[in-house]
Amino acid sequence: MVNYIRKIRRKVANKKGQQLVEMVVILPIIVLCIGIIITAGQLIFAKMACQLAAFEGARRAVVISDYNTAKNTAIAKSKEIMKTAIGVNQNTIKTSFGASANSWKKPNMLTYTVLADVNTLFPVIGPNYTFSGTTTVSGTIVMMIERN
Amino acid sequence: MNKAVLILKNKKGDTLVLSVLIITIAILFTVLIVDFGMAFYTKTHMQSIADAMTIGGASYGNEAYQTLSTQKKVAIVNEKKAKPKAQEILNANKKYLPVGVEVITAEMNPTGKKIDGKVMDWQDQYYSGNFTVRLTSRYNTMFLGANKNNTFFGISLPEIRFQNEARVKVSPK
Repeated sequence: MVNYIRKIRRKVANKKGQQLVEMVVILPIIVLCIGIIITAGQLIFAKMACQLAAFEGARRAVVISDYNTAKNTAIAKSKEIMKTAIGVNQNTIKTSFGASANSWKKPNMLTYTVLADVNTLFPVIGPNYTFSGTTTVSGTIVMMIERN
Repeated sequence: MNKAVLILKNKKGDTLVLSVLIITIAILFTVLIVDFGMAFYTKTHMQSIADAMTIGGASYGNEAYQTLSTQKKVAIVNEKKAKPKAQEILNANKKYLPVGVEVITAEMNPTGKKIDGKVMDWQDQYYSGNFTVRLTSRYNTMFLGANKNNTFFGISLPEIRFQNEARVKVSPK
């Protein structure tokens, strides 16, 4: 028994591997922090791209008289802008053109939304507390229609 | 005295102290980066709203008249039409603002605005066909000051405020 206790004391006094233990304690937290920074950056960048795509699309649409041309122009412009957004799944880009052909006249309002799925580097906690590798971001703008 | 020196020389537990320090700094740094990233996004969002308000308001209030002396057509932005329309656009856009963002003031044709090197009051802007919107907003940071009073355990935290401005000059129809 005495020998056993001496053996343990010697082992505790031995400082070999101390740095490894320190590293094991700190590294996961550092990696977690870096992960949060990268993921937040990805989401914020995608959200900014969505907002810009919504604004540019709506701006182009509100100066066109024909409803269908306006709608198609807005969607085309938004998709063109979203091509530059890193991490955005291009097949998931959706648009919501909140105006009908009957209401397409000055000074009515157009509510235009661009939605896209972002493939994040690290999983994000969703609204139901479930981890997911993809997050949907959106950008919306309300503008006045400028043509009759 | 010797006891104090001995305590300082003792290296037991220094890893714990270092670890806590590094972890705290890393977490604070992360929180700051996420919060400032969101604030940066909010600023660009507010700029797009200011642009939409200016363009919509100026387009709705765009009127032209002929001067008696020169018979020249001059464009003005009718404030009675432009201001309510811009406010309507702002109200419609408020629904889509990110969480924690508040619009504090929305000034239209603010006095003292410098345009083409000349300081203009609202009348100068009116008659020169200019329409300016200045939005002042507040962002209650997500992690640092998420509650309504912007305090964290009773300690007041600074909020992030920013100003966005947009101007349109109309020409005669």
